[in-house]
Amino acid sequence: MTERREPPRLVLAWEALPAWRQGAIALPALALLTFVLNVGPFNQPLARSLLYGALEGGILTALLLVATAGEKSKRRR
Amino acid sequence: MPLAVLFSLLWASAFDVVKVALHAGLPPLFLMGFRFLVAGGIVLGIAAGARHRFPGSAAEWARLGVLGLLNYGLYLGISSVALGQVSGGLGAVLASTNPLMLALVAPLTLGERIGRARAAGMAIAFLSVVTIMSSRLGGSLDTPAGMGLILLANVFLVAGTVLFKRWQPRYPLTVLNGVQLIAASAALLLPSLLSEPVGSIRPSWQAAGALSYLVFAISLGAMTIWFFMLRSGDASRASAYFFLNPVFGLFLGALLLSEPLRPLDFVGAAGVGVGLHLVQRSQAGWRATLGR
Repeated sequence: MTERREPPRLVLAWEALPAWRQGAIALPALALLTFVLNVGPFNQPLARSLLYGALEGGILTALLLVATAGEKSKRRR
Repeated sequence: MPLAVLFSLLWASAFDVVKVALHAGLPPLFLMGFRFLVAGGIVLGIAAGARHRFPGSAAEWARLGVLGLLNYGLYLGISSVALGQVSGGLGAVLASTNPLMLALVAPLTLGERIGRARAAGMAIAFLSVVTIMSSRLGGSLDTPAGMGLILLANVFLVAGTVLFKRWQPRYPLTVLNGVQLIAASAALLLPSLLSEPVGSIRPSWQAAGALSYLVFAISLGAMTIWFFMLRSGDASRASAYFFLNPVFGLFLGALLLSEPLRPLDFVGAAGVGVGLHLVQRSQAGWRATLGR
């Protein structure tokens, strides 16, 4: 019989947060990360990097929230 | 898998061919509407000759009409108008948000689970597309209206994909594709007649060649493959192949137009491959889904 492994405590704590709080934490971090990518290695102007950072950070945040909900519901089943 | 790659290759080539047709003197709505009319006529002729099953009630015709409006008319009609307002690079990045949008709505509308591996695969593929297109972003071409239009077009394709999966129309692919094409042509040719003067249509051999390619390779070839993939598996997994389009677009540009490639392009292409692999291997495989 295989024993089901519990995910790390940090992951469980993250999943326990309400979705709006997950978004409030993830969006600034991911927007900043993609902004830095755009302004640094991708060599984009500052204003455009801000726009692309917000757009790409928003997309990645939404994906993270959906994946979190998916994993949580899988474990519940 | 080979079918999916062929779909992406054909789909990637369509962007350049549409631009050729537009430059050759065909107005965007006329180009799309006329192309759908010719392709729909051909494929429905084949379906009638082969005695394929057509919809039996007005409601069934209406459903296919709505799908045609979303998957062809609004998606490609709006995209063709927007193509003149954004650079090719940004257009490719925005077009690759389609699988992401679908991944966000699929759990709620289709009951598809987006787990860790699939989400990670999509994020890697998206960031890889951004990497590839980073040097091709910007320029005076990009307007907020153009960006908004491409995103809006994607919303319509996502809606069409979701409805296709929910309604699961069980007609032969010829009928399925043909009715949608005719519905979309009706929806686009009317505004074309009202807004694009007949005098603005300039027939040429170049326009005819581009139109033929769009009819046979894209509307009849690529779209039939797309509906087959959609019918055979998860919507979010099928649409993930849209991430390959900018990669193929890039390599086709290098091959046919001698456009330069950078080392980062290869890194991005590899990233798209890794992302797609993660998406496709998440949950049960493609074959298991086929047997569902």
